[in-house]
Amino acid sequence: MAKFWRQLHFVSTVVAGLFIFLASVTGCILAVEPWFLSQNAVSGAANPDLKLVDFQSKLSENFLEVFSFEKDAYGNIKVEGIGLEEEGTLFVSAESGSVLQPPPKLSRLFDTSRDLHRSLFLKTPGRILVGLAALALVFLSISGIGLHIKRAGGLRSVLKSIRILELRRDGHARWSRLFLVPILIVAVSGLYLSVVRFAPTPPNAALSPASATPLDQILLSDVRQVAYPVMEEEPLVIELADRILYFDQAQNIPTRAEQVPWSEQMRAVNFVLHTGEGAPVWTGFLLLTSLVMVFLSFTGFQMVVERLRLKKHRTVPDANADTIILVGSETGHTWRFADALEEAFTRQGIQVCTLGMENLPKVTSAKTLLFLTSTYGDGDAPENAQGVLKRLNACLSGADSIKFSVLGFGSSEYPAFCAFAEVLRYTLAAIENTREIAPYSTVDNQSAVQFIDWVRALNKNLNIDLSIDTSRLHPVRKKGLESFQIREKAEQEDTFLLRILHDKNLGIRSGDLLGVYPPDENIERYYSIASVSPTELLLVIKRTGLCSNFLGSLAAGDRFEGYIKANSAFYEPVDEKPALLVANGTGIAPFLGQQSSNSQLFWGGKYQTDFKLFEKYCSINSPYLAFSREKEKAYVQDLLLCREADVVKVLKENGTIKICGSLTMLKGVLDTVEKIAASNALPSTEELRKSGRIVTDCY
Amino acid sequence: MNKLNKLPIVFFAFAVTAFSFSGFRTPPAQVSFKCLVQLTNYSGEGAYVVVSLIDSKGKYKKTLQIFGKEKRWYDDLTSWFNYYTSAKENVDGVSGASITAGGRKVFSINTDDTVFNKGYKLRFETAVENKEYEEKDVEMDFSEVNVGKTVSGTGYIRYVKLIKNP
Repeated sequence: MAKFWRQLHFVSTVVAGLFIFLASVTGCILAVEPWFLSQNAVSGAANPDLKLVDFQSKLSENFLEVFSFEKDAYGNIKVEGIGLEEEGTLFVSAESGSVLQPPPKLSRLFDTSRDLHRSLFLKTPGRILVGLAALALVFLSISGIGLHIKRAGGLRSVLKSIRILELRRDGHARWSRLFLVPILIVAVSGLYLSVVRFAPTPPNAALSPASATPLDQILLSDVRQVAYPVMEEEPLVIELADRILYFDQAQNIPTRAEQVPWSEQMRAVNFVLHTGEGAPVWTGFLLLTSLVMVFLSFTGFQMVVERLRLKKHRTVPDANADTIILVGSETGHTWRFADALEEAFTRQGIQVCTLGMENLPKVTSAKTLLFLTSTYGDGDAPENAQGVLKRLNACLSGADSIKFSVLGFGSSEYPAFCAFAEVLRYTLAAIENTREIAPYSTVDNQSAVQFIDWVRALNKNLNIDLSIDTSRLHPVRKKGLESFQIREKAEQEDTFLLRILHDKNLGIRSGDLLGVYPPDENIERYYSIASVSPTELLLVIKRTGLCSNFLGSLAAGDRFEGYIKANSAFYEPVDEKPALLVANGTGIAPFLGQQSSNSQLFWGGKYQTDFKLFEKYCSINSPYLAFSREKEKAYVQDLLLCREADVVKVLKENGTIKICGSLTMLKGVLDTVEKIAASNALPSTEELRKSGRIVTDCY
Repeated sequence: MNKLNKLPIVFFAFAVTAFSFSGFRTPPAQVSFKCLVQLTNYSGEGAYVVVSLIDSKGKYKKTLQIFGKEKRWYDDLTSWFNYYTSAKENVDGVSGASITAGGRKVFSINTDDTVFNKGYKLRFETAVENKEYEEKDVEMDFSEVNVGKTVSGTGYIRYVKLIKNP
């Protein structure tokens, strides 16, 4: 079903997106007009008890002849008649019936916008096009609801907050959800107005004239329009909101009464809903809705362009290729990595073929399958990998042996980060003839570094020498970097600690990440931050590569540029819930400067002296420490096992476990927690990760 | 000084002469009417209505009134539009909003008596978006016979009524 919604959403955007964009922009302008009109209304408020006949006698004092008059949504009374000094369409005072200056003319901009909005300056064919665009907007809203439900993983979680990681995709989702109802109202009312324009007006239904209000009882406030007899045999015609009354001359009881047809009354309602005429508060909503729709059409376009730009890939495997790269992708980022990987293979003279996961072939001979996949929403397969899990066994079990590796793409800011990739990996591993050739890894936020790490593991295991052209991954250096100054530096072996001055306004909190570009490279590295004062942060870094050596080469007083990436999952909890902070090596950084009395820190390092580097910043009383090369030669997970009661207590009290450090440590810790959870009837680590109660930042 | 004093006298003499010459031809008397247009309850957009003065040979002489502001719709009023484009008449002073179905509008006709009761006609042309164009929705003699009477239309106009200025 998700595929259907997505197709409908895509096709509607391609077909009608431009018209919807134009209508939204002009809609923004038109939404302001009712405000001007209400400001410029001239007739004033009439006494609500003023009778029509009394108003008529006031009019007759000011006119030689009145042919008709009508009242608009702003209370303006427009008389068609011959006044004492002028004739034609004249505005009159609701109180005295005297002729007034007409309201000032509004800018031509409104008329031009209306024309563009209604008919794209194309007369009748334009009106049809705009009507179809309204229909497309209805389709977009409905398919949008379907996609929201799919994204959230069910109707119940559809109102959960959406994190904005990528403005285009997530902003589109967030704002469309917030404005779904007004957008639907605008779409449906617009469609109704378009359809009704081309439908013949049904005849008015007759009413019993006896039940109608006598002429001398009709109030001016109920009257929409009055037409006076011009010819002898003509009746006096009075239009009220829902009925039309015909009076013969000098009669008080109407001779004929008609009901305004339902469709016409609906048209009036839809007209107000669509234009906000006479309803200033709703007009404000319409303006906001139009603005949001400008944003939605713009981001929608960008996503369509992104999708159309995707390189066309084969759909049938190349029989000569022993290695197949299979791609599961939602927005196309994963394809970019797959293409770079294919290129690296080709440069090595190894024939590979890249396929979308929907084209997973039936494999009959020994092959190497490399799966690169993202995850959709709450752990679902991405668009082109729907249903793949079910087919895996049938497709692969026919081959002698299958070598595979899975690389997950996504953003760790989602609770279900790479959840589909994990499931895929387990499903693959469960097939008898398969063997994993490089450990399952993940790429967080398109990190080129993590991708290259996985390629290195692949190189090692396949005994090849792939080198990725990182420029193919399109890393772009962020603009508007902040300047940071090193205030203090301390070193211990190959690890160093930096105390860094920053602008107070950045609002940095412990757990946030500092992105730093090494010189001459566009791929940033992230370092966890400990905030020790409103203007100072700490980094704990081990010299391992280009960027850490660059930072290691700086001295107190030096400046460098970087940016802050918020990472709220690692913040100190605001509630009083307990937390276990688990780290090894430099992974301690985000936990330095966290001082909640409810937190317990577990840290693992090689030697006792390693801890000395940051001891003075560690404000948590009596942290549990393990040293792998000294004393008991223990790891941090061993500490957890010793403190099983603490782990159980935290989990039972709905607390969180935060893990920061190496991936090996993460695995060990998760295994330990899994054991503890299992023997205490607590949720599994997988569930805990999904519900955000185990958060990790490991590398 | 003396010469200067005589100048006004010379001007006065000129003025008197000029006035006496012009006195030989009396200027045509002005005639002024109000005219009411009432549309039928057709279903559709507002109607564009143009009122023109037609001479005895059936030629357009002058545009008296246009109901309909958007110039890009003017070409729907086919016959008048041909005249309008060739005569390049400035119609800004006599144009107003279009008339909605069932609506009525009043406008004034101010002209001189050389065209009243002299075989000239008033023509009301109408056009509605996506509907038939009516070249002669109403065409009537611009003469005393039609003053104070309602004249029925054949298209979107129910009737028009020419009213002598009160």
